[in-house]
Amino acid sequence: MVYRLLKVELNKIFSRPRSYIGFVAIAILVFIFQLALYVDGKTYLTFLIQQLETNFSIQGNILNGYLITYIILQTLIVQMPLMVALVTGDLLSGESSSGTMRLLATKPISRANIITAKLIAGSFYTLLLVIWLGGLALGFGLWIFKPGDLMVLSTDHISIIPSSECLWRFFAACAVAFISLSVVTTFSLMLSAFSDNSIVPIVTTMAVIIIFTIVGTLDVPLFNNIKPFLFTTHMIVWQKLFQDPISTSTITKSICIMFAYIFGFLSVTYYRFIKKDILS
Amino acid sequence: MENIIELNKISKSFGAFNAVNKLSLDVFKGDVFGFLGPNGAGKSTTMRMILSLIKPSSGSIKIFGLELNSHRNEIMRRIGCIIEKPDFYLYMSAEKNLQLFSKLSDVDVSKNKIHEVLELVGLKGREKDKVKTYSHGMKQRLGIAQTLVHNPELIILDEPTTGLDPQGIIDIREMILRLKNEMNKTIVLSSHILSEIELVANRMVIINKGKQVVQGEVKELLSSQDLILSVEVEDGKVALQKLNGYKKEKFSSLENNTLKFSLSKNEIPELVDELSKTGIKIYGITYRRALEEYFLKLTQHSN
Repeated sequence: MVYRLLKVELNKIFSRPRSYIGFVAIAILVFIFQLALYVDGKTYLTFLIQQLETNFSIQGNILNGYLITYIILQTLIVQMPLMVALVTGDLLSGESSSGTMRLLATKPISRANIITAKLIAGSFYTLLLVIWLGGLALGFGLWIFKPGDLMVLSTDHISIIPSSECLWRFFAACAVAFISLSVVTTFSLMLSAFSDNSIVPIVTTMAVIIIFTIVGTLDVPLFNNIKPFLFTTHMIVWQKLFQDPISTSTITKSICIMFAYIFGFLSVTYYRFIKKDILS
Repeated sequence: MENIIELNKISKSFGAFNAVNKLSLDVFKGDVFGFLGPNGAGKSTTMRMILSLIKPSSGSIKIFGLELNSHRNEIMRRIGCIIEKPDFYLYMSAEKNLQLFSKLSDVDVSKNKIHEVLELVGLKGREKDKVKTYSHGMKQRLGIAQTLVHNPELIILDEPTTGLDPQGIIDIREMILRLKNEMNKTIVLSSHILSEIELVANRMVIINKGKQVVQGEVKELLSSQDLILSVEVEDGKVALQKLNGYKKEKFSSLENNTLKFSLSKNEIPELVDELSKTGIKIYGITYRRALEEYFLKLTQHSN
């Protein structure tokens, strides 16, 4: 039954124009980035590495497809929660606000199955968005700018990733980004179970992410104690895959914390939705 | 008689508010069961409990002889329903909506069957149009189509004629009678209009403030000889004085110069004669069946 329900859920998601906003926005942004970097990338890069060039001699194709992809991922992945929440925040509450929840909940399907199907459909949508972003950025990046070693500048060090290692690191980064966005998926789904209005979960998800991100970036001792517990702290862990050596323990710890969040949000969602009186 | 729905002292509270209070009722196979009550009486709450949208605070519900709690999916497979207004995925066509909901009913329904049902409700030719282009009446018809598409044994319709034009109301009424007579369905129909129930239902219950007022065969309940006669006169008080105690035991109230009497049909000419003899001006005489009058009062009070 979950499979049947899942097909219906995917059908619903992809029948709605709203679901394509994220894909269109990503395509436009990737195109703008690549065009901008194609036209003026060298100036941008010179500005970035001018201090380094006083001490080091940098040779080769620095402005390559991998660097472009890294820049695009770093910039756009911050916007992805909005695109995800736009669809997943609406999965339950949208049915309530449109009145179709009444019909859905009178069918011979358990409420747990309804959530499971919506969760899988929402996660599939999130995965497609990540693949779309990664695929467009990497595909066009490599096509236009050609491969090369990836130079990643951090505040305290530089990592040079050999071209041969970049591809798997990008795949791994997309997988970790998918787990990060799954936290957003389950969080917005949980809020969606509490609301009969689809705007509330979407806006609340964004508000929480913005607040947590700001708290996470402020260097205040009080906040330093809570930072490790904010899911937004761990959502950027994919960047650690572009350090040498890779800090496996940090990445594993963050992934575990994100899974704990996912489990927590899902438990609340199932409990709430199964107990809920459908009055809408 | 096979019992299709058995409600046993079900109650539902929302905080301190008792929406339904120890309500018991039985719906038998082949019934068109009218569920009557003024707005806020608890009709929709009861229907939602029958459809497991709301969990009762207490009491038990059996449908097709099975406990709803433990056999929910088995029961729901055999039910078609519209609760309040029929809502669909507006961005999909009627055909696609029906395909989708029939899939969820765990029944494989062919396209032909979908077209057949759409034809039955008068939507043939519009099946490919998105539901957002439909009028309220068309959505109501599509709602009926959705209840029928998986061939359920029990159909639950919550105020299915709300917002329809007179022809739409007649069409729905005829459809309900066809479902009963030609397809042998059991139908539970809620309404706040007694005459609507009277035209289609064979049994009914009236509820008010979540409690049962009366339950039984529609014919028996409405064929009672007790009538409420309303006589609008020039001056009610003077008319009462002039009647000088005549049919005093039958007099029930005086409101806005309208005298009300509770009597049987064959007592009406006698009373009208007596009123004429007093010389008081009579502007109008109407009568209602006692249950009708009672229900009207309930409705007026709730409004």
